[in-house]
Order: sequence, then C-alpha cells, then structure tokens
Amino acid sequence: MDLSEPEEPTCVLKMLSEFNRNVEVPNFPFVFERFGNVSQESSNNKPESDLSSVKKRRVEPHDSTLDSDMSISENIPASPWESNKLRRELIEAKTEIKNLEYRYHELLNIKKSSDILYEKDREAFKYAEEKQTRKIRDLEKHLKQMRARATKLEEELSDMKATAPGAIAELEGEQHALQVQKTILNGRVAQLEEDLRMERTNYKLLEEEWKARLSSLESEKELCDTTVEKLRAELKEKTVQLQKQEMYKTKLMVSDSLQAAKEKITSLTSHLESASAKEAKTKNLLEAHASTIRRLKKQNNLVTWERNDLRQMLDSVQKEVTLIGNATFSESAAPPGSDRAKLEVLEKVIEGYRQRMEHIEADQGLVCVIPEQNSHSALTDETSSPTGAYVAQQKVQELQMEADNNRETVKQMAGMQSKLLHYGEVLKENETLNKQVTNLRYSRRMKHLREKLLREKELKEKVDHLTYQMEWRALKGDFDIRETKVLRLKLGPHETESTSTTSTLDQLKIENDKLKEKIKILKDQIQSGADASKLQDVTVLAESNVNAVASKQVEVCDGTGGIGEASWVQGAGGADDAGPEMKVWETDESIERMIVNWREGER
Amino acid sequence: MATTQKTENAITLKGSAKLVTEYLSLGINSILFQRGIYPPESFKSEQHFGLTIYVATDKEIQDFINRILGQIKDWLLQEKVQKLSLIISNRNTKEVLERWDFKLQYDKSSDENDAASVNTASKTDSTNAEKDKIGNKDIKVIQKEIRDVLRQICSTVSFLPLLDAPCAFDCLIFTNFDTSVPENWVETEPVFIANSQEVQLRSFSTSLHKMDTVVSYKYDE
Repeated sequence: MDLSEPEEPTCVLKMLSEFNRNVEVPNFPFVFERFGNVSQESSNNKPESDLSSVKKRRVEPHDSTLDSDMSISENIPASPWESNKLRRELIEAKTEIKNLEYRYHELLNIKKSSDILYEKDREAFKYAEEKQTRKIRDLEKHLKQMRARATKLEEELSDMKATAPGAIAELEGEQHALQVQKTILNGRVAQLEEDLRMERTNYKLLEEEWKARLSSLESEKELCDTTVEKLRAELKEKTVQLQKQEMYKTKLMVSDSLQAAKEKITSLTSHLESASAKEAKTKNLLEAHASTIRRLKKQNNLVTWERNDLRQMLDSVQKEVTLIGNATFSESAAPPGSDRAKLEVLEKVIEGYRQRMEHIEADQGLVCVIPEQNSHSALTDETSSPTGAYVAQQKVQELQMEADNNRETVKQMAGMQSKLLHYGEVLKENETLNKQVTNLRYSRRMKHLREKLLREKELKEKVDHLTYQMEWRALKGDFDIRETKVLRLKLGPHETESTSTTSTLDQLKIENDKLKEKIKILKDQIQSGADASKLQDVTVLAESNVNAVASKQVEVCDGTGGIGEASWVQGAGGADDAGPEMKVWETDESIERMIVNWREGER
Repeated sequence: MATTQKTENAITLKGSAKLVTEYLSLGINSILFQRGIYPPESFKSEQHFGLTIYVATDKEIQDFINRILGQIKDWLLQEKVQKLSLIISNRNTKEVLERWDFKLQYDKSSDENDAASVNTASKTDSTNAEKDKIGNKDIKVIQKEIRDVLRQICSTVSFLPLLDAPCAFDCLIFTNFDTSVPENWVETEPVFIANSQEVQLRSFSTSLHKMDTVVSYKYDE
C-alpha cells in the first residue's frame, strides 16, 4: 500500500484514525442506509480472508478514481459496484478495528498486570531489604550488648578470681558446718525413723488388739444373741410352768381352805347344836332359877323382917342394958345380984336369938343355891347363869365372825402368797429383762458406733475427695463468682497493641475495598468500552463508591444499634427482600402503645 | 540492776504488702524476660534478693506494671485481693497460651486474736488494730523463700512449651466482690486455658500474707 493511501477518504487506516479521533465520516448516503443489513450479510456470508483479498484487488482500481477531492467524489454519484465495494471495505475495516481494539486491550491488560507484578516485587524486595537492615541493626545491638556483657563477665571473673580463695575457704567452712549439721540431722532422722517404726509397731499392735477386741466382741455378741434366744425360750417355758404351778397351787389352796372351812363349819354346827341343847337346858334352868329366886326373895323378905325385928329387939335390949349400966354406976351401992340376974336374962335372950338364927340358917327349906364362880365347866356356869344363853349366842356369832374372818384372812394370805410368788417371778423376769436390755443396749451401741465409724469414714473420704476437687479446680483457675470481681487496667500494652492492629486491619480493609471497587469499575469500563480519558477517574469513583457504602452501613448500624431507643419491623416481604426503605422505624412511644393494646386485649 | 533486752523479729502489714508487691514486680518482669514476650534488649539486669533479675526498660511496660502493683498494694492493706493472673496470649490469634496465677492468702490467726479487742473497742480502733498487724517472721527467711520462688520461675523455661508466635501479656486481678472499681479499671471475664496443664511452684509467707504461684499452660500432646 502506498503512503498516499491514508489520505483517501475510503482508506481504511484513515477511516480508523478518524474514527478514533471522533471525526465525522464523509457522508455516504448509500452506505448508511443499509449499513446494518449489509454488515450483517457480509459478516455472515463471506469469510474474512476472502474479503481481504477482494479488498486488495478492488481498492487498487478505485484509487485512481478517488485521487481527486472529496467534493468531486460527493458530486459524482457512486456506482453500485463501488458502493458495494465500499461497503465491503467498510465492514472489513470495522472488523479489523475491533480486532485491533481487542488486541490493544489485551496488551494493555498484560502491561498493567506486569506493572502490578513489578510493583509487588519491588515492594517485596524493599520490605525484605528493610527487614534485613533491621535484623542487621538488631544483631549489631545484640552484639554490642553481648560484648558489654562479656566485658562485665570478664570483670566479674577477675573479681571472682581475686575473691575466690577467701570465698572457697568460707564455703569450705560452711560445707564443714553443713556436714556436721547433716550428721546431726542424719542421727535425728534415724531417731525419728526408729520412733516411727516403734509407733508403727505400736499402731499395728493396737490395730491387732482392736481387731481382736472387735472379734471377741462380735463373738460375745453372737453368744449373747444365742443366750438371749435361749433365755427367751426358757423364759417362755418357765412362764408356762409357773402359770401351771400357780394354777395348781391356787387349786390346792382353795381345796385346803375349802376343807378347813367345811371342818370348821361342821365343828361349828356341832357346837351350835350343843349350844342349842345347852340353851334349852339353860332355859329350863332359868325357869327353875326364877322360881327359886322368887322363893328366895320371899325368904329374904322374911329374913329381913325377922332381922329387923331382932335388931329392934337387940337395940331395945342394948338400950336397956345401957340404962341398967348407967344406973348401976351411979348407984354403986346397988346390989350386984339383981344386975347379974338381968344380965343373965339378957344373955339368955341373946343366946336364944342366936339359936334362932342358927335354926333359921340351918333350915333346908330356905336354902338358896348360889351360882359358883369356879365351876368345873364354863358351859354349866353359863347355862346355870340367867345370861348364859345370850353369851353363848354371842359366842357362836363371834365364832362365826371369827370363821368368816379366818376365811377372809386365809384368802388374803393365799392372795398375798400368790402375789409374793408373782413378785418373785417378776423380779427374776425383771433381772433377766434387765440383762437382756443391757445386752441389747450394748449391741445397739456397738452397732451405732460401727455405723458412726463407717459414716465418719465415708465423710472423711468425701471431705478428702471434695478438698482434692477444690484444690484441683483452684489450680485450674476456678473461683467463686459470687465473691470475686475480675478487674483489669485499661489501656495496657496488650490493649494498645490490639487497638493498633485493629486500626491497621480496618485501614487495610478499606484499602482492599477501594481496590476491589477500582477493579470493578475498570472491568465495567472495559466491558462498556469507555475512553482512556475516563480511566483516570477510576480512583475518585472507587473512593466515592466506598464512602457511600460505608455511610450506608453506618446509618444501618445507628438504626439497629440502640435497642432501647428504637426498633424496626420488617415488611411482609421478609428479611432478604426488605431493604432499608422497607423497615418501619418505631419509637418508644409506639412500643408503649403496643403494650397498652396488648394489655387491653388481655383484659 | 542488770536489764535484759529481748530482740524480736517483727514485720508490719505495710512491710509485708511491700514485700509481696516487690515479689510480684520481679516475678512479672522475669516471666516477661524468660518467656520472650519482649526482646531481651528491652531488659536490664538488677540485683534483688541476692539474685540477678532482668527488668523491663520499656517505659510503657514499667508504667503499666507499677500502676497495677500500686493499686494491689492498697488492696493488700484492705485484704481485698485474692489473686493476680498474668495472661500470655498469642498476639495474632488472641489465643491464651499461658496463665501465671499469684494466689494470696491472709493470715487469719491475728484476726481471731484481735476479735475480742475488736468487739470491745470502737470501729476506728479496730481499723487501726488491723493496720497495726505485726508478723513475727524473720525478714531473712522471707527473702530466702522469695528467692527460691524466683529461682523456680526462672527454671520453668525448661518444661514450659516454646512460645514461637509473637505474644502479648495482660494482668487480671481477682478481688473481693465488695471492692469498688477504681478509675481506668474495668470488670472483665476470667481467662481459662483449654486442655491445660498446671504446675504449682513454691510458696512463701510473710506471716501476714501467703503467696502461692501456679503456672498453667496449654498442653499439646
């Protein structure tokens, strides 16, 4: 192709340059009328190679015709062949343009990626270099410090060397003292070990004794149990026997008492009979006595009358005598013969009186039988007396009373005896029961003590286990939440580091977002085929987009952050399709209204 | 007349609290050095209790530790601290790798002895009595015990797993529930290590305070 070719309006290169410069293409009315259809047809019907060959062939003759100005070409109506030719050429040119653009973009991308790679490598190298320089600096510092330390150590070594002999001597002295102490302690340890052994043996002995005691106590307990059982059986048997014996005894006593009572009754009946006979006799005697009494009374009356008479006589005689005596003493001169005669008369009267008395006394008809006190039998005396029957009756009654009393006393005695026997048995039983109770108490106490020991052992084990668990938990860092507060100082190195890392992380995230946005915008622009001039605004666009997204996020966070301030209710569409516009913001008032409505509904 | 003077070992509550905070400071610093939380360049060697202890030179770290220990000292006098936990966690993943528990126990015998006097005396007197608590342990013995624990802390490096990731540390203080939260302090959650192994180190006592040290670390079979 010649150099003059680009100047031609139909030249592909010229067209391309014009197209890039956005210069208006010369008006080809015939071309633009069916541009779309033609292009489609051409692209569909013919392959690219053929078209290029045709173009080459047909452009050459056409060049001569297009040598003149555009105005000439505009004036000259195009032939259909030419127009077709131009159309084909245009299509070819367009396809070529597209190919070239694609290649250009590819190259641009490759350049960019190579640039990025180059930048990354450069940064990496820079970082490595910095790291190495830092490392070198650190190592140098370290080396300096090490050197300083070495010098210090050397100094210390020299000092030590200077002070070493004295220190060694001191240490030797200390060693010697320690050795002495060690020997003393060894002796003590040996003593303690011996003590420990002794204590262990004592403990073992005590343990054995305790075990032996325990076994003996157990055997005793078993024996006690067996004896208790035996005693119980014996007690039962004995109680049965005793009951039988009691029954027999009571029977015997009752029969004896019955016999005695019968005998007594028979004797008493015989007595009663004899007494009744005696009573009859005494009645008869009483009647006889009454008659004799009456006679004696009569005789007594007679005697008393005679006695009185005689007394009167005697008194008169005595009076006479006294009168005679007085007269004689006064008349001392009277003759003794007359007085003597008188006295003799009087003595004769007295004598006669005496005789009469003796006579009356000797009279059998007037004899009265007086009851004698010292009779040979009480019964005859009683019966002989007028109150004998009554006395006998009384005696019989007394005897009956005595018999009754005797029966009662016998009964009481039998009751007392049985009671005494019962009391003795009860005492025996009480003793046995006491023994049983003591045994039982002993066994119960033993049981209780054993249970207590077991419980204590269990509790000890539990306490040990719990203390172990507590210690273990404390070691693991466990603590009582109710009694402890965990506090920490704000703005420590840990926190400052974490805040710095979070800030750097946030910065990196923002940068990442910006870069992502940049890539996205670039992709979009490339896809849409934008100008190169617009590519420069990518960073500004990306930043604005990122800021817009961040502000949106902040708004959403502010809205949802305060639970007490406000809450939002999603629309009917659900969470996914409900945007921020769909959220219905509700203030505290609306919540209160809801609560009031709910309460009313409940009422 | 010849007078005999009796010499007794005595340690006050303040002195005891000072010893405890000193131990905590040295313990935390030596843990930070031994476990490689910060580079060894940021530590300097100092002599304490007859031992060479590496103490952090970074001002931020020192300020942080001193602020914590100052508060702990106040709480120690009020008997409000139960435990201090030093948490070592992975800087990137935030996973807790180690926990150093410094557990505190207070001497209760002196409280019981003072109980009768507290009942009779007024409240102010009782608080004074609490402040005037005196222990009877020899200071040399206490220092020796602290030295032994610090030695053990240094020797734990032999069995604790290697911390190959960059790590950070934090301090949690377990106080009584009635403790008011001071300014710049916040309540937080306790820290537990999943599948942990614990090692109890030696303990020391000032006769007023008893300190137990336990290290828990993640056990990977």
